[in-house]
Amino acid sequence: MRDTFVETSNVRKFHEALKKVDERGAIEACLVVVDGKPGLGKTTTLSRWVAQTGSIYLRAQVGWDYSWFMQELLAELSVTQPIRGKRERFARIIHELGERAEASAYNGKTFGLVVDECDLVSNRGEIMEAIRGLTDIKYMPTILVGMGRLRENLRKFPQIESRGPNKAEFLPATLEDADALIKGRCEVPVAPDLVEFVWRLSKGFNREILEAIASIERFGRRMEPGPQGVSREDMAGQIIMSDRTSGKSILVPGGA
Amino acid sequence: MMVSTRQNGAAPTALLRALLEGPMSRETVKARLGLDWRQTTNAARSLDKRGYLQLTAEGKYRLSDAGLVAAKAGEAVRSGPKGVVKIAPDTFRQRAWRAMRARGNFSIGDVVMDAGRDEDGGQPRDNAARYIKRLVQAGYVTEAARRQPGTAPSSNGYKRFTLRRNTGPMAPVFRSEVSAMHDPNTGEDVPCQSL
Repeated sequence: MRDTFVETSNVRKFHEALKKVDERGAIEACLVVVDGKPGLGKTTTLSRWVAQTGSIYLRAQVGWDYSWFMQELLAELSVTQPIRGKRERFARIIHELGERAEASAYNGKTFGLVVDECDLVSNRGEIMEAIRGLTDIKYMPTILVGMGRLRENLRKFPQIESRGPNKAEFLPATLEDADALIKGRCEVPVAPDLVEFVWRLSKGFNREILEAIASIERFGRRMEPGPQGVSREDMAGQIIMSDRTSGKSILVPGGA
Repeated sequence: MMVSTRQNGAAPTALLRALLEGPMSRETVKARLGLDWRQTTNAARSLDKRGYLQLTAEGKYRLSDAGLVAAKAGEAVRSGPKGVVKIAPDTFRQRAWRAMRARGNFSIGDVVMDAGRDEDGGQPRDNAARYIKRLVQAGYVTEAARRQPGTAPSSNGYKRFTLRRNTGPMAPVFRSEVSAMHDPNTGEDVPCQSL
């Protein structure tokens, strides 16, 4: 499988949400909420964005409180010596974030803060208010990543909800997305009928599409595909992916 | 005009003079002054620290009023003391380290996909593989016992890795003279053990 990052409609949606933050209709609207079911490419998208921009990435933990959150943030900013006093710690974080945002701006890049697994803390007022405080002071894009409960929990905080109009919901891949993903990453050509089959059976989940790409590649490297690539007929009777709910193998229909 | 980057403050001074002609994009500055991306950014930040530079809405560099006065007066910029803020350099290995930290579990392909850029050139996969090997030898990363099945008929499968020692945001650097990973987060040299 090729090590290529493929820009799907979800990735474009994420970048559009960031662009809106950059254009900033409301100066304080710097929060971006990214949510969607597991396996739709959130981690891949965010991991690449963080690696490329040098943004701060935090993964929320179940036991997080205000002090733990601030300590994690200081560690991510390479501040290892202890700082006494809440106010001093907050001031140092603001200074460090400001320096990085400025360096990124001169580098033509966007710098931000990513809080992954944010569902775990999205009902804790002190942490969410701290995030809002940092975002408001530095007008820094802050990306809250979660699955189901994030949007619902944020509604409990009108002060925050009003600052998060930029939402990027990761949805199942479209047929065009599946086609782009297969063309971009599969090292053997794949016929359109098999692309359509993979898309339908994967229900648009990237994770399953990638599993199918590995199966197709394994099969396609051992045969001479036709001019259009490996087709449904070629793979009839072969296991192509697993069903995420039952765990059972999915076979390409047809064959003996 | 090529700038000697060995001379103290030469790049920001040259940038200050060049911007007298008007706003310039990063690409133009880089090409005009013969700098690399990092030197271009550092020169811009150096002027910004003195209040001489601004960014236009299109992201171009432009002189502030103070910058205009300084440029017209022929001011030479000298580098001052380095601040306390440690910002990681934008190298392939630094991006690879960030990707490993964000993912936790990864393959070499995952790291290349996250960290790679067209401008990197060379062989990013080989670079990532060598870097991860050193991190394994120093105990930062462990190899999973089971490989992910490969797709080529002769493939032994792909290795999967887990980040075990996540010491901080700065990427550990291999020091060949002592065969150790220098960890800028902790300041220590961690010896690489032959596997």
